[in-house]
This record gives sequence, C-alpha cells and structure tokens, in this order.
Amino acid sequence: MGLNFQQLILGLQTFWAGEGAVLQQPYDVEVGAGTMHPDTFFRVLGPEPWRVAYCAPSRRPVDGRYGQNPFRVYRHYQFQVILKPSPPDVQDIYLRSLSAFGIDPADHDIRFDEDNWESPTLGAAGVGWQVLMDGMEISQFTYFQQAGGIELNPISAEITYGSERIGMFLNGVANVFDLEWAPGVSYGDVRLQEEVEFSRHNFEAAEVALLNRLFDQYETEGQRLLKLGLVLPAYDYALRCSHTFNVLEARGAISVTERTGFIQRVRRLAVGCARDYLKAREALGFPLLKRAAAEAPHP
Amino acid sequence: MTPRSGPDFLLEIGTEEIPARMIEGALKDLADGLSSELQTARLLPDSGFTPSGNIDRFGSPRRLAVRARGIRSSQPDAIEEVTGPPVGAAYDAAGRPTKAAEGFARAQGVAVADLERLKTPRGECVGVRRKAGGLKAQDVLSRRIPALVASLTFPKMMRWGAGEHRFVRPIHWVVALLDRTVVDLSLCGVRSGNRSRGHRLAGSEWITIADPSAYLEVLRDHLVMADGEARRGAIQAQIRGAAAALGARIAAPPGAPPGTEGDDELLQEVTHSVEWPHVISGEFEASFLDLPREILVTALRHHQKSFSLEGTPGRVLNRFLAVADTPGDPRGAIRRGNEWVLRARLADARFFWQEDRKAALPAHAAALERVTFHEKLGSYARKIRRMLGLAEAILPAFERSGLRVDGAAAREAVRLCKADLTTQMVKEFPELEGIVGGLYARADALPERAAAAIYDHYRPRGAEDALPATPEAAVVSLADRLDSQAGIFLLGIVPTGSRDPYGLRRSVLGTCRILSEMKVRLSLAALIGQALRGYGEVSIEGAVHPDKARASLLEFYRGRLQHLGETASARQDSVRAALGASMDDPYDLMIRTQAIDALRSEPRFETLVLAHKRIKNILKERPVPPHDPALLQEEAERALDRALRKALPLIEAAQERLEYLAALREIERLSPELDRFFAEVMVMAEDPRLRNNRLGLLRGIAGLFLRVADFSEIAVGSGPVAGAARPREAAPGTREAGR
Repeated sequence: MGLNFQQLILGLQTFWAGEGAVLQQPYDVEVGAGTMHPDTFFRVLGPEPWRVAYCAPSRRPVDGRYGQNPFRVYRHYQFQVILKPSPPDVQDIYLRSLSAFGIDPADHDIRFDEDNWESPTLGAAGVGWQVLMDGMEISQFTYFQQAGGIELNPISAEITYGSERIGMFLNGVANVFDLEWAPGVSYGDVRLQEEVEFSRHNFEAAEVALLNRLFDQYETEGQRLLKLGLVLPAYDYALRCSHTFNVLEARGAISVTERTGFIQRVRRLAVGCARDYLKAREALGFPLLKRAAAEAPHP
Repeated sequence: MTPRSGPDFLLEIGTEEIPARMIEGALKDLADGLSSELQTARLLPDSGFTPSGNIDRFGSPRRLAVRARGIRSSQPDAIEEVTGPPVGAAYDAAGRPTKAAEGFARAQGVAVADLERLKTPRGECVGVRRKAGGLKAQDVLSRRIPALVASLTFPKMMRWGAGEHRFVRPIHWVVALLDRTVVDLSLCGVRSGNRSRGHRLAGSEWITIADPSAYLEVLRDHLVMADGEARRGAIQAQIRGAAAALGARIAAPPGAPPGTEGDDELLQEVTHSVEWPHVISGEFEASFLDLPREILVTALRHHQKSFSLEGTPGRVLNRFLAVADTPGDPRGAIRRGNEWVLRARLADARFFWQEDRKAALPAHAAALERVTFHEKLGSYARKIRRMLGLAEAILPAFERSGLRVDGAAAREAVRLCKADLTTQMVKEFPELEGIVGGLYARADALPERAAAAIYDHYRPRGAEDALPATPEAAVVSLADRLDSQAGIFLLGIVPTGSRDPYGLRRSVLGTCRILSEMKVRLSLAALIGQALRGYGEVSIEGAVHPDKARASLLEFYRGRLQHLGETASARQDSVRAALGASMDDPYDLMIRTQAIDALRSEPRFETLVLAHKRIKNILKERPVPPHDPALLQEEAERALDRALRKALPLIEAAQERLEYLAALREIERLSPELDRFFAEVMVMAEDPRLRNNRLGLLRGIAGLFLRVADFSEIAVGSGPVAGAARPREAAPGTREAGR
C-alpha cells in the first residue's frame, strides 16, 4: 500500500518546507485553481523572490459528476508550489520531491510532455509540461511568462501536483472515492455528499438571476475598492466574480457570445489588481528584495 | 570514412525537455544556418563538402546537435577591397583629395595617399586593398554561432530564472568543439565546454565529449540515442517485434487512408519524446473491446501515445504497446502503471459513449443552435441550413455526371454531420469529428448510406488523404467546404502562404480533388455564387461585398487548380493555358490539361500555338462583334469562314464528349485556310466595316482555340522546360497589325 491521502499532502509539505518554501494554507475565498491564491497570483509579479507551497482545494463546477465518476470531482485538491525565480535545478528538485511519496524515479518512466497553460480570466500564461509517470499525468510544471497582463521578470516556476490522482495511482485504487484519506476513512466518507449536493446545486438549483446580480455587484465593488487603493480586498471580489461565472456556466446560463464578455470583465478587474499591487509593492520598496540582497545569495 | 580534409565541428545545446513537435524543425534550421554561416565565413573546403553529406543533425528532447565534418581550420587568405567614393568625387579639378576622400581614408585607417583606384560596377572609385581573413575557424565560429542560435525561432518560446534569455526551453549546457578544442562561446548565458549530460536515469554527472566523432558513442554509453533516425528505427524494430510476438500488427489511426500500415505519425511523436526507447507491452480488460475500433485506437494514442494492435485488419486486440524512456522495466512497474492509466482512459471513453448515446444524433443536432461556427458567421445550425441549400445544387450535378447518389441519405447526412460537435466524445477527441458522428448514426440505426456519409465527410483531410468513399459523403463534404470558404472570404480574409488560420488551402484543394477525381461536372462560379447567397439573409459585421468575395475566392481557386495541375502534369504552362481558357469546371480543366500535355510532343503543336498567338496579337483586347459572312469579299476570307463553320459543330461535339485531343485536331485542320488568310487578306483595311468584319472572323477562330486552351500561355521553342517564363509579347503578327 502507498501513502494515504493525508500522508501524501503531509509528505509534500515536509519536502517543500525543506526547500525553503513558506507553508501557506488554502485561501478562504473560492478558487478554481491554486494559481488564483493571492500568494501565487500577486507574488509572481515584480522583482521580489518568493517560495511558497500549499494545498489548494479548487472548485470547478463543470467537472462535477454527482459523485458518480471514478476520476472526476467538482472540488479537487491541488498541491501548489511557487519558486521565484525558477532555480536552474528546478526539474531535479521536482524529481526529488517524488520521493516524498515513495516514488523512486529509477523504477518509473517519467516524462516532461509539452503542455502550456493560459488563463484568460487572470491575464496569465505560462510555458511548460505535464509530467507523466508511466503514462499518467501527475503534475503540471509551468514557467510563468505573464500574470495579470504583466510580463514577468524574474520568472517563477509553478509546480502543481494532482493529489487525488497520485494517491489513486500509489494505492492502485480505481475509484477516487475509495482512496484512503486517513486510516479507516475514505475520500468518499469525507467528500461524497459534498460532491452530490454541489453537483445538484451547480447544474440544477443555483439561482441564475441572483448569481447574475451578484456578479454585477461583485464587479462594481471590486472596481470601487481598487479606486480606494485596497488591492487585496478588490482581488477577493475578482475571485468571487470568477467563481460566480463558473457556476453560471455550469448552470448552462451563459451563451457562447456572452462568455467572452464575462471573462473580459473578470480579467479587467484582475489586471487592475495586478497593476496596483505592483505599484503598492514598489511604494513599499519591494521589501523582500531588500532582504534577499542583504542575505547570502539563494542556494 | 572519407579522407579527412579538415577538422570537425560539433555543437550540442543541452536543454530541458523540448516539445517533440519542434525538434525536427529546429534541427533543420540549425543545420541550414550552420551551412550558410560556414559558407559566408569561407570555412568550407573548395570541394567535397555538401550540406547533406557533411552536416549531421542529432537531437532528442534534451539536446539539439549539429556536426559539420571536414571544414577548414582557418579561412583562406584573400584580398579584401573596400570601395570608397567615385574618383570624380574623391579628387577636385586640381587632383587634390576632397573631404569625401579624406573622410573615407580616415574611416579605413589609412593615409589619403595610400588610396588606390578600383574598378567597380559603378565606375572607377577610390578604395583600399588589404590582405584579409586568415581568421581561425575557432574565432569565426565563436563569434558567429551565438548569433545563429539567437536567430532560431520556435512555435513557442519562453524565458526562465532571471528572465533575460529567450529560447524554446532553458539551456543547461553547451558543447562546442572543433576537433578536440573547445570553441569558446556563450548561449543564453551558458558557457561552452566539452561536457554533456546523459539520460536523466544515467545520473547527473557530467560526461566528456573528447572529439566530435565520438559524440554518438559517448552518449550511447550514457543511455542516449542522439540520432533521431536510429532512434526511430529502434522503436520501429521493437514495436514490430512485440507485435509479431503476439501474432498481430500495428493498427493504423482512424481517418488514415485505407491501406495505411502502422501509425507513422505516432511513431514520429514518440521518437522525439524519448532518449532511450523501451517498448512496453501491456493489456487491458477485454470488456472494453465492445467500444468501436476508432474510439479504442484513439483513446490509446491520443492521451497515452500507445500503439494499438490488431490481429486481422479491423479487429483490435486488448493489447497495447507504449514507448517508455528507460532501459527496461525489470519490476514491471511501468507496465502496471500504464495499464492502470489506460483502464481509466478507456473507462472515460466508455462513459462518454454511454452519455452521448442517451440522446440520439438528431437530438444532438438540435443543440447546434448554440454552437458557434464562427463568431461573425453564426451557429452551426445556420451553417447546416445553408449547406442544405448547397446540397440541392450539388445533387443534380452528381446525377448529371452519372454518379448514383441517394439524395435522401445525403440530405439526412447534411442535417446530422455536425451533430457530433456537441458530444463529449468529440470534445475529448477532436480528431474524431465526423467519424464519431458516423459511429453514433450507425448505433442509432440510421440509414447506412447516411451514416457512411457523416463518417467520411471531412475527407480528404489533406493532399495525401483518400477521397470520401461514397458519393453522398462527397456531397456533404462539398457543401461543407463551399459554405466555409464563402463565409471566410465574405469576411475579407484571404489566406496567404504563411497565414491560413482556417485551413482554406486544404479546403479548396479538397474541393478541386473531389470534383476532378470523382468526375463531377459542375460550374464553380455558380456554386460559389450559391454559397455566397446562402449568407444573404444575415448581415455580417465587417463583410466585404459578395461580388468582391466571389472574385477573390475564384482567384484563390485558380491558384489551387494551378497547383493541383502542376502536381499531376509537369508542364506549368500547359496548366496555365488550360486555365486561361476556363477554370469553371475542374474535371473538364483536368481533361483539357491532359490533352494539351499529350499533344505537346507532336511537332504540329507549335503551329497551333503560333497561330493562336498571332491571332491574339492582332485582336489585342479590342471588342469586336461577330463577323457577317455577307460582308466577306476575298476568296481567302470566305474559305476561312467556310472552314470555321464546318469545324464548329465538330469541335462542339468533341468538347461535349470531353475528347479534347480530337477537338485540337479539328482546329489544326484549319491551318491551310488560316495561312492563306494571313497571306492574302489585309486585316486592318481602311474601311472600318471591312476591318471589323475581318477582326470578327478572327475572333471566331480564336473562340475555337479558347474552347480548349489559351495557347498564348505556352512557351514555344524553349524545349521541354517546366516552368518556362510566361510569354508576354510574341513577335509574329506585328506585320499585319501594323500595315
């Protein structure tokens, strides 16, 4: 038997703490991916060095399957790492991290297969790979090139582990809900009801008129806060817009033509946040940059 | 080994994993670039060096390498001339050097008195002659290689770390060797050396490349097959061996032309995604074999890059071959892993199949109202309605052409051909669009001819692909293509060699191939007109006038038809001559082109060409009415008129039967009368009535020629040269016109 689900997360946390990453916690506003956590979205901007690792419960309403599909869930647990600037030996570090959950790369076929990433809502794009182990995608590995519409310098490496998949693979489990979370407790015990109810909510029950109204209000509030120089609160509203849009889309309430408009509106808010965040950090004199300069160069 | 004339140069750029699809292109650019750098730097030996014979390309996901064997160790000495101002500007009337001469001398670092007089194409100039070159290959390469590498472009590039360099992936090492000596240079901040790295599994220690000739061997010792061709061969041998051991063969991908053996596209991709291939043979549960072959094979190859096996053609086995990047799989972990993942993939495919099948294909088609064909051109549902109109125009043409077509099945296929765009299966495997629709139609027990037409309507997918297998599929394919072409041209988008976002070159070529190879007789102009009218109901933002779209689309067809004709016939001007007469019926065009090509070898051909040129020269572009036989005065012109009236019905009949060789022979028979006419009759008579009548007669004769070809496009007297220059003016005929 391989590591259970929580041992897997613990192993990754321990490994990346050892690599000098700040262990952050999940964000408490709904996100669709670990990338949307402020500790990724903002920290990759500007010159300040940064290393962070956290588990990111990610909500993707359209992926809900009422708990019926053995591989797909509405909410999954990404494990997210940011290394800024990307160190020259980042691939080697990554390969070593696999040993955190008991994988010896010498026994497996590990491949870096081209897979670029783009998020129109965040104005973000990156170049990289999906990492395949014996034919299964276990991670996304991305060199961020742009975020919030801003060309990045230096470049961050983002590593995202698909925790459920790795856990299933390690344990030879064919259904995610059978994966052991903790001794005697399965992933299904912890999450099945949530999957069923949120699938119903997202596909059938969510109140479209309310969500449309909320989207408008979140957007207006975000733009207002931005004008007050409250970048991080404004960004929370961008995240709320994004999630509201995702639910509306799952609900089938957004036509193809409307879709572009919604994405543009979220993007405008996110891009504004990115721009003002950078200004705010500059006004503070990029504190983490000063500290890095004062210390010895990064290993 | 060939005798060594000079040192070998090796460049290896060590990187993180480069996308498989980019490796061949990058190696070609690198090799071509190196070849031209060596040429301009005068580092190639005087003889015996060819780019294909002396420049090797090696590459794998983690390295791009080129090796030039037998270059010069240094440039030959040469006298370099630097030309300055013309002599007239360099000295004044008194012979004193001007400011221009002084400035030039200063810039060249010589005294004015040392300037020499050089003969140049623009007259005598002052200049400097000095012994140049003799630079060492070492120094030249260390200066030029970084610029060459910086000039490489990739479909997608990136920055990393501090963000100051751009390349396809981060560079980790550079080997640059001239025989045993390191050529000192730096690429993206990485200094060159003679140290490389082996396979990731061979450990992270450096390995030394002592000499360019040792490159492949040293890497092989460290689990890297750097020669792509050899790697492909190794995989090919391994998969064939593994298949043979199971009494099976590699299955061709769905959509490949019938008779295709194996899966070269997949082979190519896996070749460039591994450094040390090892084929894993695995199996999956036989219960998945109830999925259609197309779905099974695609599920294996699309995500898992695995080869499917079949016992007899069409009968897939529950086995697969995956290509791992390892020396082996002693513990079976890789095989077990791949089997596990494949089970998940196949379960996904089965899930999609079952979900999609919950609604019949017509119900899926109803959802096309909400699927965008093009943001400015509306939904697929609208496209289908336009295609139905087009099908009504195409169906009679098929019947007229003697093709038996089931009209009801073709219409049903048009209605349903895009329905699979709403299915989960096509969202998962876009390469199966059309095919999936056909499979679902069959599963829904729709008429087989309709199902087959849906299945095949994307054919031909490219120049090498097979045509649609049935006439119904060809009708759907034509309607689909014409509608898209008309829509895109209405938006004012005309594809160019480098930019063709909607794949219109392939689309138009496909239309031409279907019409000419299936012998469908129809008018392109009429069909295009109909396709454009289909968009009439909607006002399209930013659209060009339909007449303009029609003209530019027809012009685009002309280019594709020319291309298609040249592919089939070696003579460019035969194709141009045939096109010059008419391009409206591509099948007819093909037959005329063949007739022209067939007649070219005969000596009389030149007579025909010269006669047509002569007539065209007299007629120029002037508009003249048809002649009136009553006004003809001289016997020579009356004789020509009689010959014309006798030939016309014969030529028309031959044309009707597409017997253009016979038509050409009839035209040829007019030669004596035509010669006599030119000898005895003055075309440009004083009396305008007589003049116009004679011109009218000649126009009637030219009209006979133009039923087959515009012979003035033919280059004569230049021998059998493909692609001879387009003759613009021809000498004969000026005498008559000028009289």
